[in-house]
Amino acid sequence: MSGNTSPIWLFDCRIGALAPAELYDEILPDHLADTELLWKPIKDRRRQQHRHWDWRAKLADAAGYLFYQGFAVVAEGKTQGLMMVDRSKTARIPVQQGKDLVYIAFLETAPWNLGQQRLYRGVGTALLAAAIQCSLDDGFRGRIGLHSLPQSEDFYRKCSMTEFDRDPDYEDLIYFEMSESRAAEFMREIGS
Amino acid sequence: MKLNLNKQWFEQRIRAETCDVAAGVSSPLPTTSQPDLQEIEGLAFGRLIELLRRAQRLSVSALAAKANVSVEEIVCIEGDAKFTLDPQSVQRLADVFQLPPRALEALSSRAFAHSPRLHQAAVSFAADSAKISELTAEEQAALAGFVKVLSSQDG
Repeated sequence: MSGNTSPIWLFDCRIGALAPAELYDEILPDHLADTELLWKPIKDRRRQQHRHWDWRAKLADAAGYLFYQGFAVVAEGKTQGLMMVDRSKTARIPVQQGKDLVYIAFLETAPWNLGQQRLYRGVGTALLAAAIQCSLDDGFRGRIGLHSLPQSEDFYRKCSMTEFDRDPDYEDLIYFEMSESRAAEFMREIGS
Repeated sequence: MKLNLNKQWFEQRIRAETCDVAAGVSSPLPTTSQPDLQEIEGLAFGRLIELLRRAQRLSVSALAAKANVSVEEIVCIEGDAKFTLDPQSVQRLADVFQLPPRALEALSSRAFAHSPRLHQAAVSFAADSAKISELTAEEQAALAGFVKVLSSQDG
């Protein structure tokens, strides 16, 4: 695989320790192939909520639009999670209302990273950090927003994102937004 | 983009990830809409009624009275490409303008999409009938009056 990568860490639940992984700042053909050859059969079998997410179609839709950017997390040579961000949206929190933010249009982890028997934990954390870094790089000061799937709401609450009402324009999902100050706190260096 | 976070950062932050993480709606990305073929036919229908009305120097109210349809319906026909008129009203408009009722109903109900030739004619008409002339005195007065009302609502 090629592309711009950053070293990251995931928690390998099989050994109970952190394991090295890579964050890609684009979604490459190999990542798409993994979603089709490795993810899809498992998702179809489990009838997961977002089993209908077709990443190849999403990437085709986004082609030509500069405000979309894809990200991928890879470990053990397999795609562990994907994210598509949209840099054309604006903030809703009153103190930053109307300002540009990075909106996480889609975030999905590999089906083997879901539930109690997951292989890796931390894919969502890494992708959330990538969205914040993308926001910082674009001059949006870390502002990000997203519509959470019901099973993930607690995670975004734990990240101290501001919670809005269910959004009737977005399939009744709850909208979460991270303020500049909270983003700075989230990304703050820990340890040495 | 480069992410520079150390191992300790991940060790601590990952502890919060105790549930599955996902985000986003199931619908496609919002910026990829293609021209709505049926909406173009609705637009052509509205333009047709408007030009026929103006050719006969009828006001909206006068046409509504003459065709026995409501003023609101005429406003919607001319201004809302998604508005669909009931077949009886289409029939009465066809009578007023002496048009073939079936053809007008086909256009009104966006059935031209099945015929490439008729659909292309509707697209060409919608494009060619877009106004580029200066506003008449009546249009200027109506525009100024409505802008004034809108402005009075601000703040």
